[in-house]
Amino acid sequence: MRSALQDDTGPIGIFLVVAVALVAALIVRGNLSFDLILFSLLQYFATIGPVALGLGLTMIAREFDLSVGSTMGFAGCVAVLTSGDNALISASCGIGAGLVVGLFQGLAIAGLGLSSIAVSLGGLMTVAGLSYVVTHNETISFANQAVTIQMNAPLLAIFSVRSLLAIACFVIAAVVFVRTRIGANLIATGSDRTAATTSGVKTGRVVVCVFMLSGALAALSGVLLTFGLSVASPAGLTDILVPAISAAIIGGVSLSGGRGSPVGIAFGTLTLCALSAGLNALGLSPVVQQIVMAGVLFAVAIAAAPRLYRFHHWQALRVRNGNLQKTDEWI
Amino acid sequence: MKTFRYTLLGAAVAIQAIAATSVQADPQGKKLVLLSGPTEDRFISAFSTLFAGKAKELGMSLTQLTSPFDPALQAQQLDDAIGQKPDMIVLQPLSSGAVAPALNRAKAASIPVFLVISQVDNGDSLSVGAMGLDDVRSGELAAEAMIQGLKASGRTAAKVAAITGSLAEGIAPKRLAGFKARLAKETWIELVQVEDAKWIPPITEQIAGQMFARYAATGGLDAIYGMNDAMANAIIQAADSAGVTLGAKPGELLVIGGGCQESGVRNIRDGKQYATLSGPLPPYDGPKAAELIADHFSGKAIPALSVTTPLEIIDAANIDKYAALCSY
Repeated sequence: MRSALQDDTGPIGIFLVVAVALVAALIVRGNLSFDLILFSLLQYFATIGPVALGLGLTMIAREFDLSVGSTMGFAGCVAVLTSGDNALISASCGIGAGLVVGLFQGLAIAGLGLSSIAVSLGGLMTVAGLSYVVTHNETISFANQAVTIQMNAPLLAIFSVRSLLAIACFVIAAVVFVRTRIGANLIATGSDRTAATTSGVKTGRVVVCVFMLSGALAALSGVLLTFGLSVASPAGLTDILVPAISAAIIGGVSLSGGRGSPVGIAFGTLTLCALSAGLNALGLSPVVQQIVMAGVLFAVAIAAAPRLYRFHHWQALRVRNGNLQKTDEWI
Repeated sequence: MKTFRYTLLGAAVAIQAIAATSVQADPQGKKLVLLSGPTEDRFISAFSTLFAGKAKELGMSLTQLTSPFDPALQAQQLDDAIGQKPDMIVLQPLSSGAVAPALNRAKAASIPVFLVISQVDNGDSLSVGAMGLDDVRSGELAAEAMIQGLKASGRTAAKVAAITGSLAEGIAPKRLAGFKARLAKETWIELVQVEDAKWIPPITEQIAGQMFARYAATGGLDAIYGMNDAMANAIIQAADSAGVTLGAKPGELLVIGGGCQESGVRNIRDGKQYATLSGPLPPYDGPKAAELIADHFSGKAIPALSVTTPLEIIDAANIDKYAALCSY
């Protein structure tokens, strides 16, 4: 079923509107450092982006990974607990932990035919519990301050290692999605699993892989955040699930599966980050910020409504064909 | 004549310098950004309101950003605040460790930071001053109140427990350390259980209920310390539900709170809570923090850590003195 946000032009358009509004608001506000605000925006992108990408890909496959928040926190804890002189090894351990979480969940969903909501809810609670066990319920410090400084040091004024790594994830995902059969298989799995299986797509393998990817990306985000903030907490350092889902939806991913792309998710995440940075810069209260965010989500949901698309399509046909008789075909 | 001219010139330069200094050193028109926890929290709400009122009275303007105890979100807000180039950032650190890198960025951007409500470990060089409470002393005083109550009831042996705020970091571990250190000196008191309720009253109520069931067969608990009055109130609710008698007499459960809130005042007056502690109190800390910031802008030296709320045990004997201050 087509809709107004079938391709990536929808998320890109929304982002452009929000970006223009942000720039206008910042100019009106005056006496602001654009460099620092863009830096902050991209730091937030580095936190949400990889998680939204992983979660969005599971949504495209018509599944849902609720465990991303706890996987993110757990990976940060694992990275700190295994940290020595080499940050790459501890980062690999953290990301490896995320991969294992994703693998178990993917196997349970694809192998046993279980609901991804139930499995990932169990995963969320189990992994959160594991975080408390491995840290003995204590916030643990990441001692390698050189890495923390490197992670947060501005590059080209507005980027950092964290944000560049997050952008790299999106670029790689977008290229793989477009240039290989993986993207088409994912869309096919999410659109109609039976038809996809009949046409030769190994849908079980797709689901396992997409959950492993979701676990690994959530873990990457957790490790980068832990390195950037120099601490890991069993309670998790941030509430990620709602922003990540919002970013994916604004990015054109359909909750009913089979629609979305990494580029769309990237622009969805950027829209969310631009809104957050802009509203913070304007000094609006968090309550007002929530209302504005909710308004954007509603607008996206309405714009993506199939009936609205059919209405626009019908109107376009009417204009093209002259005085077409009024019909309720679009309803 | 020449000397007179030079004297006149010198005086003019001096007057200009003083005038320039007074312009620079005036808190009037200074732009503050306050980053705090959620204002749904009564204490944070009262502190913010009183701080904002005093800051405006002193001629400063204020923008507030709040975070629902989310350290990563606060770090991002801190970056956003740096981008706004305020004259000062006033920060309630939600995580001592997580906020340190962003504080370094504020320092690099030459934006001074003043800490309120809680502190940053080893962060003296990252802020111009801090307003807080001696949390270790607070824990010690909670133990002191418990010991007083147990002794007054004539008990010679006691089993006690503590239900704490989040032990991951921050205030609660310090209070617990002080509490344990003081109790360790009383060998007749046994601290049988410490549970982390993460400052959440419903979890506190659930944990307290489980404790009553667990120790009922061995004579029950003699006292419980809830780290703030909202948690103490939850313990009292659980005790009422479980049929545990509250009070200071032998066989009754002694409840000690902290942070002096309205529920604590009510429970002490009803005889259900033995004691609470006087700090922190927004009517003291909020306006005083604004005054210290104004002093900083006026060029006066301000202490690295200011503890303004008098910290003492509040029980039935002195509750009237604190009732109004605690009912914010």
